[in-house]
Amino acid sequence: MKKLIIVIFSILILYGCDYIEINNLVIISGMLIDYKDNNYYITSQIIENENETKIKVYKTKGVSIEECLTELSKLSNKDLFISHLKVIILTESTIKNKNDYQDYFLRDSKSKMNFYVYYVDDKYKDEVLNIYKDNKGSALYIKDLMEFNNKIFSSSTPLSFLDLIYKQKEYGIDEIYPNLVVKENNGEKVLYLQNIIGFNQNKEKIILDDKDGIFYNMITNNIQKTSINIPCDNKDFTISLNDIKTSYKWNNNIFNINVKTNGKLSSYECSYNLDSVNSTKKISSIVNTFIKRNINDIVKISVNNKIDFIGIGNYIYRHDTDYFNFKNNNWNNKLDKIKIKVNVDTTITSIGEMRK
Amino acid sequence: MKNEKINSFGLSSLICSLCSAPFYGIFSSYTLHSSRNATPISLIIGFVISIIISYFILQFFKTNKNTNFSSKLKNIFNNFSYFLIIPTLACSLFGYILLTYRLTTFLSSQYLIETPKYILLISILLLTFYVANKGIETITRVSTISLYISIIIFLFDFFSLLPQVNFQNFLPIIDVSLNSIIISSIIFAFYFTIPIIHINIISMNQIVDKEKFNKYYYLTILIAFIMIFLSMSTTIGILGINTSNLFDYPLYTTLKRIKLFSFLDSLENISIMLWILYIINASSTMLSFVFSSLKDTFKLSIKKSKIINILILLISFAIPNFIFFNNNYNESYEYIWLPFSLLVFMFIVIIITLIKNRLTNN
Repeated sequence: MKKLIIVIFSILILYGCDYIEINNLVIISGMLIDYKDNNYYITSQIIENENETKIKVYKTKGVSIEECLTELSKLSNKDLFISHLKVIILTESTIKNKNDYQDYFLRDSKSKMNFYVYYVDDKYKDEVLNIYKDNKGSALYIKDLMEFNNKIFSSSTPLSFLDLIYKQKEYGIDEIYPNLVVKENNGEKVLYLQNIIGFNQNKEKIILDDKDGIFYNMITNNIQKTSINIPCDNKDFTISLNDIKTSYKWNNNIFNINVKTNGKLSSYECSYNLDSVNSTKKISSIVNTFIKRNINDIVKISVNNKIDFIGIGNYIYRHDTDYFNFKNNNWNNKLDKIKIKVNVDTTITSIGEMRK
Repeated sequence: MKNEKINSFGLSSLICSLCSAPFYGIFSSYTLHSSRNATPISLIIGFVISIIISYFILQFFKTNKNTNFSSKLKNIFNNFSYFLIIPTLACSLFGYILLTYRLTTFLSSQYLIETPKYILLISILLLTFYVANKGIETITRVSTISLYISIIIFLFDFFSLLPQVNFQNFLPIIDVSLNSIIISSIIFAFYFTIPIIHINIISMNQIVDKEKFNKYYYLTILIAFIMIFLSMSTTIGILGINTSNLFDYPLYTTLKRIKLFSFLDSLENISIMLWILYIINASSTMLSFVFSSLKDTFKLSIKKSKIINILILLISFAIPNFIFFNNNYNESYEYIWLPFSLLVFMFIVIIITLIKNRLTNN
C-alpha cells in the first residue's frame, strides 16, 4: 500500500511545473528572419490548435530573436513551442550582417536544431510563408519540396541547421543556401527551389544555377542518382547516373576530385551505333568529358569568387595540417593557388531495352 | 549490514554503472574540450591506465575477504583507520552530491525548465536514499536489469547514428599537445575506475560465486569503456569537434539526430534513460556505501544510524546550493580538479592499505 501511494504521488508530480495544454501552445513551424537597422523582423508561421487546426502568419520586430518571439507569444496569447520548427528562411541582410541569430537556436534547450535553412530574395520575403496558409502551411510544403527535389532532380541541396553551424566552425569550407522563389503559373503562386546561393568574404552573392547545383551535389556526395542531357552531333542523349561516388585526394600539392559513377542511357538520338563496344566506350568518354567540364566550371566559380563551398580547404586541413595556417590566415585567398584536377570515370552499365 | 548474498554478475553490473555514471552528460564535455580530435586516443590510453588502477582495486577487494571497507582498514590500521575512513566517506559523499546535482541540472535545463531545481533534487535524493536503504542486494538487482536495458538502448542509438558518421571529422587525429592528451587520459582513468571502490560495501565472501568474479569484473569494465568510447567517437564523427564543443551536453545533442522512418524523432528522450539509470545506480551505491561504512566504523545502533542517514541526506541537499554555482560551464570545466583530487586521495588509501597489508603479512 505504501509503495502504491509513493507511485501515485510520483506520477502526479512527474511533469513538475512545466505542464501546458496543447491548446495553449503556439507551435512554430517556420520562420523568416530579416535584419535591418539593428532590428530583427521575424515572420513566423504558427500552427494553432483550438477547435480546429489553423495556420497563421505573424510578423514581429525586436532587437533580438527572443524579443520577437516574446512579441509573438503576446500576439497569439499563448506559450511558444519551438521544437516543431521545420524551416528557417534567411534574407540577404541577415546572412551578411547578423550571423549571431544562430545563438538563440543553439542555446535554447527546446530547440531541436533539426530544421533546415533556406535563403530568400527580398522580393519574395513577404509572400513565402503566406502562400500555403489555407493548406498545411509553407513550412511543411518546403520540407516536402526539398525531399522531392533531392530524390528526383538533385538540383538543390538541403542545408540543415547543424550542417550550417558545422561549416561555419570548420576550417576551409563555406556554406551555401538553397534558394526559395515564388513563381506564378497560370494565375497560381507556387514555391519553387531555384539555384543555390553563397556569400563570399566580401559579401558578394554567388549563384549556382540548377545545372551547377546537380554537379555541386555530385562532387560533394549529396546525391546518389540524377539524369543529365548531353549533346552529341547536334543532337543529345540522356543518361541516368547512379551510384555516384566522389572522393578527394591531396597529392604533391595537387587536389584531385575523382568522380566514379554508373550510367544507364535513358534516351539516345546520336549517330553512333550502340551495338559495338567501341561505341559504348565513346559514349562513356563523352559523358566523362561533359561531367568533367561542368565540374571544372563549378571549381572556377569557387576559385574566382574566393568561396570554398566544395570544402577543398577542409580536406587539406584534415590531411595536411602543416600545408596552410588555417587559424591565422584566410584560406579563400589561397584557393586560386591550388592546382585542382578533376577525374571522371563513368561506366555505362546499360543502354536500355534497345540494342542500337 | 544484514548478511546479504550477491552473485558476481550482479556486483559486476554495478561496476558498469559506477564507471559510466561520471561521463554521460557530465565529463564527456570536458574530455572533448581538452583532448579534441585526440579524444579517442586519450580514451584508449586512459583505459590502459584504468586497467592498472582496477587491478589494484580488485586486490584491495580481495584483501581480508571476509571484511568490508571499514573493517578492512580497521584490521590493518587499527585506530589510525579513522583518519582514512572518514575522509574516504567524505569523498564518496561528495561524489554522490556531484552526480545527483549534475543529473538535476541536466533534467532541469533540458526538460523541466519551469520547475525549480530543488524539487528535482529532492526527488532524486529521495529516490537514491530509498534505494540505498534497501541494501546492496536490491541495488545489484536493479543494476543487472539496468545493464541489459542500457546495452539495448546503446546498441539501438549506435546503429541508428552510425550512417551519419563522417570519418573525415576524426582528422587530424592529433590536434592538441601531448600534455593535453596525457592529462585527459589520467583524468579519464581516475573518473572511470576509482568509483569501483564502492563495491567494498560488501566483503568478497558475500559473493556466492566468487570464483567467477574476476572474469565479470574485467568484462563489465570493458563493456563500460566500449560504450563510452563509441559514444564519444560517434559524437565527434557526426558533429565534428568544433560543433561538439559548443554544447554542454554534446552526447545528448548527437542523440537528437536519431530519426526513424522520417517521422519518428525525439528518440533521445528514451535514450537518456541510459544516463539516468547509471547515475541513479551509482549514486545509490555511493550513498549506501557511506551509510553502511559509517554504521560499521562507529558501531551505530539502528536508530542512531537512521538519524545520521537523514542528516547526510539533508547535507546532500544543502551543499549544492553553496558550492555549485548555477553555471554549467563551471560545473563542466572548473570543478574537474576538486573531484579529481578526491579520487586521487581514494586511490592513495587503496595503495597504502595494500602496502601495509603486504608488510604485515611478511
